[in-house]
Amino acid sequence: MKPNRSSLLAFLGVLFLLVGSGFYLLQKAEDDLASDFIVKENFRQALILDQSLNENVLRSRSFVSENYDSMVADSELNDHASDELRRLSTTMIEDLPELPVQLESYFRLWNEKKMAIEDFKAKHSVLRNSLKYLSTLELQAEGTEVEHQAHQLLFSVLSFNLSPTPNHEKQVVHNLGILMKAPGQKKTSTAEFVDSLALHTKIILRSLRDRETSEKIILSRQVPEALARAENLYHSWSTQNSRNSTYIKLLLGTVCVILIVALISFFRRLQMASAELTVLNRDLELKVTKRTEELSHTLQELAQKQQVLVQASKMSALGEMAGGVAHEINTPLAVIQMRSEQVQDMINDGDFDQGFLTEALESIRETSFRIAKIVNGLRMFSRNGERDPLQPVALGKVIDDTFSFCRERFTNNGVRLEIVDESGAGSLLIPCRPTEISQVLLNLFNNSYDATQSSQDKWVQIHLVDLRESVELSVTDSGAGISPLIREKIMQPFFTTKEVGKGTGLGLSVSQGIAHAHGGSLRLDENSPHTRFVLTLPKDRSEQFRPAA
Amino acid sequence: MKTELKLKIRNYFSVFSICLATAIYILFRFTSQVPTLGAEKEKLKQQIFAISQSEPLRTGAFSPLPKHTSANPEKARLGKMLFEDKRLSKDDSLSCASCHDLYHGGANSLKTAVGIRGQIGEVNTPTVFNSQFNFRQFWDGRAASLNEQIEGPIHSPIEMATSWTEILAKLEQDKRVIEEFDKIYPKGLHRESVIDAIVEFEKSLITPNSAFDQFLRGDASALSARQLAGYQKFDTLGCVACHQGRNIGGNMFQSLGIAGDYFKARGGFLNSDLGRYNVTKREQDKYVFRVPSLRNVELTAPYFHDGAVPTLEEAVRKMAKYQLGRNLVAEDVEDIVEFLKALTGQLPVSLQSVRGTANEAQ
Ligand code: HEC
Ligand code: HEC
Repeated sequence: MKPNRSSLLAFLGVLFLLVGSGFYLLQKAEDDLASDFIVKENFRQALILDQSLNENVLRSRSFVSENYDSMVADSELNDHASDELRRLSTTMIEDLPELPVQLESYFRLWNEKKMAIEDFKAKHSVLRNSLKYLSTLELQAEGTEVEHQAHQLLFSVLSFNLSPTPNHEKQVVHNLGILMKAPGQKKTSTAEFVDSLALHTKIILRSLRDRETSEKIILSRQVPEALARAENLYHSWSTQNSRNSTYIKLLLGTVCVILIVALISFFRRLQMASAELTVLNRDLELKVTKRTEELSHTLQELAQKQQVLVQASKMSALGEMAGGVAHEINTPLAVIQMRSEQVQDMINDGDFDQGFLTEALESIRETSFRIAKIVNGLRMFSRNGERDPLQPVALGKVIDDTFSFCRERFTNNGVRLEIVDESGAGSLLIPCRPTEISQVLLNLFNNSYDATQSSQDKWVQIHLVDLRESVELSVTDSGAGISPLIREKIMQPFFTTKEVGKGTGLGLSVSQGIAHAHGGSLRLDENSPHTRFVLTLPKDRSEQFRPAA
Repeated sequence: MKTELKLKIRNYFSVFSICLATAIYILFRFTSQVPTLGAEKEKLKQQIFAISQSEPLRTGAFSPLPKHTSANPEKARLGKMLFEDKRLSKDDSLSCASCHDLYHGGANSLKTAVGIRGQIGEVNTPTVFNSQFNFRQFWDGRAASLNEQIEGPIHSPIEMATSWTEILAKLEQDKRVIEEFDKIYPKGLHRESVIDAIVEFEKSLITPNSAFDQFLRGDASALSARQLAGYQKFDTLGCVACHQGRNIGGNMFQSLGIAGDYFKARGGFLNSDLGRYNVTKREQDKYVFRVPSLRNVELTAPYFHDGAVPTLEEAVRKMAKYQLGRNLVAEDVEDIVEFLKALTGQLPVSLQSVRGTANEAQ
């Protein structure tokens, strides 16, 4: 549910694609629908108008309708519908190539029908006039010699008009012949009358025949059938098409539904996200204060723990040293024991040698001094000198004091100890806390002692150099050196190469901390072929001096 | 965390608004089920309207002219200008109005028309008044519409003898004409615009409110007693069988000489005498003509397609003889002529600035 820029963009892209194609299809469907509507409407109109024309023809024929204006209007409208259909069919020629062909046969029939309608109109008007006139003439015939024949003729003409069969036509021709031969028709007064009757009968015969022919053409089912064929053709195609457009609508409907679902889900997410934001805003400050509190607490704890650790490391160094210290003290104690025994023997023998006695007592005093010094050093070492003020001390003395704890251990194990001080740096007064420096040195010495155990020629060299600004003290041993793999880690707290339980892994890291507290440094000289630790202490960095506790 | 959320909200919001917009649009398009048919639909509507309007025409033999024209007055004004513009003929000697004198019943008093360089045509000039109500144009009905009709005189070598290229080239030099066209037609000065303007003017040429139309609308006193007698005779004799409908003619073809040989009596032979045959080449269409409208017939002497009949009285007599097989007495003729005079309407509105009725034009 995490908002992802690219997935959102992809969603938008798909959405646009869908909507775009949807619109295109919708537009197309609408256009199709529109043109479909128009085509169908024109077909419908053509059929209706055709029907209406036929109706008009029949009405005129039975003299219900008195003028042809509506026929003209229908015919014009039908022409218009035909033009439209022709135009529309050419636009669909690719989809429906049969339609123009089918329509063309309709147009041909329609044109024939139009001509027939014109003929019908003309003939019907003429027929109507002559029929009417013939009736008037027959009325005038009353009382003349040709009354009967005229009556017979009119009767047959009317029958012929009612049902224009060849038989009736024959009857008319026959009656006309009788009239022409009728006695008395030669009379000038009647001659004109008979001529007129004959003329109009002939007009009626001619125009009725013509009218029937055109009426047959007009009322024939050919035109509507051709139209229906074309319409069916179009209809079946359009049904197929509208099925397609139904699919399009379905597709669009689906798009719509997807959109709405997306809409709702985005709306809900929007709501949720903004609610989340308000809650977050409210909680944030609270959390921040709480976090800072926690943090300061942790820092305090950490500082305490560190102190404990430092002390622990010191004690551990001390522990390591304890064995050595026993030696250190044992040797002078043995000296004191031996001298005091010598003095006892002398007293027992009564043989007092002034010189020897003085020498023995001097040795006892000196040796006990030495022990006192060691114990003093031990006491000093064990106390926490962290808060001691910096005091000017000669490094040589610190080295000396430290050595007093371990000299015996070194010499007893055949480890040579050399101090090289060409520049006399050992006598320079350096501001420091001697207890701490001593702790560092003891640490280095102990490490060196352990390292030398694996080599044949065992030695540890201490080198003092005056670097003008500072003093450099390096401790080099004959050991195997430190593998490049662990070089970086050796200064880290709790890192140790010693067996479990033997070292705390804090020695070097605590030592480095001490060096830093003095404004100096402790580092491993990686260029040296042997393991060489370098401790640098500034000569005078008054700003680094800690205020006295 | 906060900015990420803000980004989230912004993204959601933009997607949300886009979805909303599209959904609304689609829904809108869907719910408005009526397809946008536009112009096509308008056309259809007009067709359907026309069908419904054709109904009342069925009642009687005649119907009055509409009182008002449907023509666009702006276009009609421009059309009048063109109608009277001699640049529409090859040598700038003739305008439409030269033959169709608008103040002479829309026709002229010559037997047959005289075209450019004095060329004499075969047929009489019919009126342009109410010609929109004729179902075909010309004596032989060779043009189905007024638009089609214009091509006739323009290209006829004995009438205006020109072409659209020539006409448009001449008109294009006239800034005023170009301006006028640009104002009204999106296409500007163009063959179609010229035709349309002239047709629109012709459509404005209706002569409403003739005495007979007033009579048809129910004013029994609109016709004089003689005219009423003439009307009755026009009906009973059968003139109405051919001269009928709204234009009192102009809605069918009829052969000339049903009851007698008009041409034999007249003598001579003209190609135009064949009438509709010249168009259809059908034997039965020989000597067939469009029945002319009798509206304003009083003003359009001489008569018949050949202009061979100088007076209305003679025209009526000839009609009765050759079309009806009747010999009319003088009284009948006079009555009918009186009636025919009742068919003269008002001068078209588009010409009325100067004169009142078509009758007063003389
Ligand atoms: C030379 C004279 C002459 C000119 C100029 C002339 N006409 Fe005619 N007009 C006639 C004649 C003659 C007829 C009949 C022709 C026919 O039926 O064969 C006619 C027929 C018509 C008709 C058909 C009327 C009907 O009832 O059938 C119309 C409309 C018409 N003209 C309009 C115009 C227009 C518009 C112009 C100008 C572009 C024009 N005429 C220019 C002589 C002219
Ligand atoms: C059978 C149809 C028919 C009948 C009936 C008929 N006419 Fe005509 N009329 C025509 C035709 C066709 C013309 C055109 C003649 C031509 O083109 O030369 C015409 C022309 C005319 C004209 C001349 C119009 C013009 O502008 O040139 C008049 C006037 C006229 N008829 C009046 C009458 C009268 C009055 C009657 C009745 C007595 C009548 N007609 C009966 C078919 C008919």
